[in-house]
Order: sequence, then structure tokens, then C-alpha cells
Amino acid sequence: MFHFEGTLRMSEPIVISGTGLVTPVENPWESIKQGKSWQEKGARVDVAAFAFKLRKTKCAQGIVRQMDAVHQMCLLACTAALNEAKVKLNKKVDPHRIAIVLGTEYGDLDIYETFERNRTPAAFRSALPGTPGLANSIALKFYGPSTTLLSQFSAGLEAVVWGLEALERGDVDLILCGGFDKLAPSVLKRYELTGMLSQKGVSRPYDRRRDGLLLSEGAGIIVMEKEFQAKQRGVRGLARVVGRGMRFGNGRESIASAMRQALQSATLSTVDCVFGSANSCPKLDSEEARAIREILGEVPVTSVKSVAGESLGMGGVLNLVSGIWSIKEGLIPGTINFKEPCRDCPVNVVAESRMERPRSVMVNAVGTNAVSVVLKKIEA
Amino acid sequence: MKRKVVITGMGAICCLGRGTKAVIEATRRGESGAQSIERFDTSELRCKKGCFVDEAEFEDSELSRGHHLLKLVVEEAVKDSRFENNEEREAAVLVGSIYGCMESWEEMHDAMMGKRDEVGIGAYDAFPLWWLSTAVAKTLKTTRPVTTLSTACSSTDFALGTALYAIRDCKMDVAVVAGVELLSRFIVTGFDKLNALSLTSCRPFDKERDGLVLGEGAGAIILESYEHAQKRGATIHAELAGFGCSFEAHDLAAPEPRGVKRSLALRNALADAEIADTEVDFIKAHGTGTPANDKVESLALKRVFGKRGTQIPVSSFKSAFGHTCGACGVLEGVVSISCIRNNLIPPTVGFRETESGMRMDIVGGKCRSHSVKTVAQMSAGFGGSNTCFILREH
Repeated sequence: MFHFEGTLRMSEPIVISGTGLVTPVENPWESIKQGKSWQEKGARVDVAAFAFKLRKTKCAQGIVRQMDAVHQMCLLACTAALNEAKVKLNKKVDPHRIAIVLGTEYGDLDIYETFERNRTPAAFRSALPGTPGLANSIALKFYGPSTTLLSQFSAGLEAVVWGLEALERGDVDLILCGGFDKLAPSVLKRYELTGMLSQKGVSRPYDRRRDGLLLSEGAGIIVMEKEFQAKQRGVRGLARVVGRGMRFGNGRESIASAMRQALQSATLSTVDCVFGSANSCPKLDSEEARAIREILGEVPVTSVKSVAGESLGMGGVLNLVSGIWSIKEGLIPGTINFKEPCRDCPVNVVAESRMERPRSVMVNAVGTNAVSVVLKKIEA
Repeated sequence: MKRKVVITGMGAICCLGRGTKAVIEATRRGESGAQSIERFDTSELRCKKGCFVDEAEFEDSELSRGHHLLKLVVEEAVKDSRFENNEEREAAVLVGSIYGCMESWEEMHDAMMGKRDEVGIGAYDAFPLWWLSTAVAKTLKTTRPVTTLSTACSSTDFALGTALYAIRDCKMDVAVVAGVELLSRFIVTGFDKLNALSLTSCRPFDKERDGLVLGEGAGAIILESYEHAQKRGATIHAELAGFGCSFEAHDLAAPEPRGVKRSLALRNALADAEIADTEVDFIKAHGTGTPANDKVESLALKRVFGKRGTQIPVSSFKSAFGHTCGACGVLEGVVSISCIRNNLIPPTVGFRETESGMRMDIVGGKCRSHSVKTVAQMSAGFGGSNTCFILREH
């Protein structure tokens, strides 16, 4: 999470061994591959439809019963990621060496609004940005150094970079990182007034006609650990994390600097494709596109936010998980609604999903900070 | 061998005044900045007190209150550090807070509920916590990453520890750690509903204690690698020698009652600083003044220091300028650092005696002269994110 030069100082490879996404659609990757916009489903997560699954888990049910929709959303994502990583909550796993780091843009503003209405102690007790992460730690009984990071657009990927740092320092053996946001009325109100929303109701990253973003919500979590440890549980891992970079700001220079750092720390000169952060904002898309051009030239670029919209805290993690699936399935999903290239976005946009076997993927998240993470395929 | 990290700049503002000098001197005088709340209607609250920054400090500023306070303390800290080559532009920035500019959110929400007219975009812009860090980054003109983190009341302590590790790992040479908390109707009402607020005064560790008094303010501490500080001839206030934390994952608000996890944060900090518990001269307690916290804290200290713990001076500055939530790590840290520099420990205002079974040397009444070479500063956040950092004389 801080400026670093040189290679990723890992003594051994780091892998992502599990992922969990709770989104407005039942199968986010299918929707991204097929180009089916989340707006068709209203871009809201129906947590109540899934929450019953938590009763079947080994999570501490006392806290689960106290959880609101936001906490549940995060816990569903955590448990899905832990399941995929085959992490069983037993004696083999030291819970003091497992942490949860979540990124969010607004936290759980729904509970703040609830407190304003009903003034109950229970509502206020949960009205902190860190409560979702904390509630998850209590449910999962993890006692490692956990925190909540706040940023616009880039929080989820910042949490991933934080996780890498914690693994590198040896503070943790396993880390759940990710991001969440829920579109409480005050979140929507703020976005309405900032003028960042698309008036035409279309998300078209990098396209000449883009006029603003469309919002969506959800929670996305990955499990990261050293590869040898995953193998001990019989888990191969989904992809290796080989590089990362981060800079303050969302201008071309900051983004280019973050991307350059990520490549340098991965000891790579290029990647096979980029999962861009572009969310259909006129200026942001252009700044990112010009940075990509500068650092990676004609490397194919896609933005899943064309399908998913801008999901705030989850956005960077959704991008990352899409990068993982892209590597695993040998497919680059298309940027829907991209039809008119323009000079201020001089990048090679993948308009339609195509079979291509990326071995290395760069994932960007640009907002308060410019963050880049490089993933690599785990070769047999 | 661990890379040494030192403190070369500080800034502070709270109910006791603006600037580290004003805050430290008032704290030493044993003043309490608690006053009747006038900023908003308290007719439905049991508690009518808070520690507010002088309204005059906010006049003539177009910035939101939170940004304004952060700007003041960051500018003071940078000036104090006497950077000559704009080193602050290469600093990583970490900001801690819990509620940030809540009054901005309140105004917007009130307008949404039809309780007031619509307000301008300025109000809506200000409330996200990350907006605070953006404001700090722009004040410093930094290009390094900017991190806003929240671990409840231990936010800025955690931020200091994070920056310490990053500088030790040679990730950067300079870090600016800042925190701010503002009092608003939302926060005071919330703590009131939790029955956490005192109806009398904040008297940490006193047997008659009945709760905390909230405070607002901001603080900034600049951390620097010792080599970098030495090379440019900086004035070094103290060394940040170690940091430790522990996470209870026990309850959303209540602390683990036996103080086991709390004591672990302290042990981890001592281990990280590579010192024995016998070297600690003064403990800056979290000391909120609530029956629960102070009891748990006394148990935690006993676990680590044993019998000697009854003789180590302990003080809580929350008795002076209130519980400044996410900002308390940096704001109280500034006063802790002054204890080392001047061998003076400010008193715990309002303290008379502990309850039976709680044997501690609480500094009460007047400021105490005492040789202070090593300080252990404790903090604990809602939900059990406990921290301790060790300050050492340089």
C-alpha cells in the first residue's frame, strides 16, 4: 500500500486461492462474458434471498443473528471465498494469523439512516465504517490485524495491496481482502448531486458518447496466501499475484506511475491484457486510457464496468476476480456499449468477448488512489 | 536490526486550544475543556456536555470543519518538521477517523427527510471519510498513496503502527499520520443512547466514574526514518520504538472483560520495541472514564506489569480534552511525546481515588515531574481493536 520500487519482495509465490462475490446477478462472470448489463436486474443485491445460507455455516450464529444486510453480504462473500480455498475453521488454521481487510467507499450508511429514524443503541453500535469487517471477524473468529480502508472507487483493490503487504511482512498466514458497498439512499443522493451519473442511463467505458457512470453494489472477497500453504490443503490456487503499484490521484501520471510500479515489481515489461477501471466517466476514462497507452501501448483493454456498472468498494475486486476467470477460461470479456472509439481514449478496447489466452493480466482501480495489480497464470 | 523511526513534526487542535504548545500547556495545567453543548439541540439527551473546538477557529474558512482542522494540524506539523526540500511531497499519508464530517451527512440527510431546505453540493461532498485524506494530500501536494483507515477509536494508533512498519521496511522515509473527529448531533446522540456518556464529568479510573465525555479535534504526527532525519539535521522529538495490536473479535462494542487481549497488544508492543516491561516509565492509558473500559484496562496492565504496575504513573488525557475517537491516537500522542521531552506528566483531571481492588498510580491533581524515557500509549476501539505504541527518548 505504499510506494515501493523493485520486485515484489516475496520469499515465495502468493496465490489467490478463493474468491467470493455477492452481486445483483446470480452469476456475475456469466453476465460479464455474455455482456448482460446488471442494470437489467436493477443493480441491487437481494441479500435476504441468500442470507439463509449463513445459518448452515460454522459461523458464530449469535453475531449472524445480529447482522444487517451489509454485514451478511460481506459474510456470504467471505464464506464463499473460504470454501473455494478449502479453508476449514479448525485447529490447523491459526485464527490469530488470519485477518480481514475490507475497502469501502461509504460503509454501511443504511444503518446510519436507521439510527436517524429510530435512535436505538443497536443501530448506533453498528454505525462505524469498520463494523462490517468487525462483524465478519466475530462470525468467523479471526483475530489477525484487520482494518477497513476508505477510498473512492479504489478501496477494494487497496485492500488487496494491503493484504499483500501483510503477507510479505509475515503478519498473517492468510488474508481475506476485498470490498463492499451498498447503495443507501444517502449514497445515491450524493452521486446525484455530484453530477457523475450518466444522464443517458448507459455505461460505456472508453466510448466517445460516455456521459457518466451507473451505480451498482455488492461485496467481493479474495483469499490470499503463500502458494506452498495452499498446496498443503490440496489447493492449487486460481492465479498468482506477482506485482502491485499505487499512487495518490486519478490523473494520467498517477495511473501510469502505479502501472509502471506494478510491472517493475512483477519484473514484466508488458501483460497480455488489462482489466481497466474505466467506469464511463468522461475524464476518468480518458486519464486511464492515456496512461495505459503510455505504459502498455496496444495491449487489449476491457472494462467489466460496462456490464456491472460502478460498484464502488467492490469494483476493484470484481475487476480482479474477472481477471482471474479470464486467465482460467482463456477468454477476455467484451466491453459492452463500446462502439465509437475516440481520440481521448487511445486504447485497444476489446468490444466483444473473445477467446484469447491471457497468461498475465493487469487489473486497475482508479479513484482516490491509482492502484494496479498484476496476476499471472499458474503454469502446470 | 530494525530501522529506527523518529518523530520530527507535530500538530494539534482541540477544545483546549490551537497548536501543540497550547494543548500541552493546558493539559499540564489540569484544565478540562468540557462545556455545555450549544451547537445543536440537546433536549432529548441525558448528557449535555462535550469538548468543542472554539467556534472562532472555523470562521473565515470555506472548507468543511473536518478539512479545516486537518489542514491546520498538518500545516503545523510540516512547519514543525522544518523540511527544506519539500519532503512532505514524498510522504505517504495515513488518515484515521470514525465519523469524519458527520454534520455534512446530517445536513444532507435532513434535507432528504424534508427537515430542512436543500443544501449546496459542498455539504454533500464533505462527508465521505476518504475526502478528508484527499484534502490532506492536496495540502501536502503529495503523490504517494493516501490511506484512510478506520478501526474505531484506535484508528490513528493503528495508522502510526502501519507507518512505522512501512518506514522500517524502507518503503518510504517520511509519513504523515493525521486524524480528526468532529462532534455532531449524530455522534453525541448515539453515545448518549448507549449510556456511555458521563452525566457529571470524565474521571478516568476514579471509583465514582460514570462515563466518557466526547471531544473533537485533530492531530498530526510526522514520522521519519532516523537516517533521513539525521542527514537533514532535523529536530527529533522522540523515537517511535514499537507498536503492537490485538483484535478481540468478541463483541461489536463491549471489551473482552478480563483484559487478556488488551494486555496482548501491550506485550506485542514491548516485544516489537525489544524492551522489557520494566523499562516503561509512564503509561498513557486509553482511560475513557467508562466503568467497563477502565476496569478492563487496569486488569490488562496488571497482567503485564504485575506488582510493579501499581507504581508506574498512569494518566488519561481524555479527562482534559474529551474522547476524540478516531483522532485520539495522534492528539494524545502529541501530549505523550511532550512527557518525554520535559519529564512532566499531565494529570488525569477529576481523579480522586480508584475503587478497591484497582491499585494503580494514577497521576491526579497536578502535573507531576517524573523522569520519562519510555512511554506506553494504549488505545482500544469499539469491537476490540486494541493497540499500544512505545515512545522512547531519543
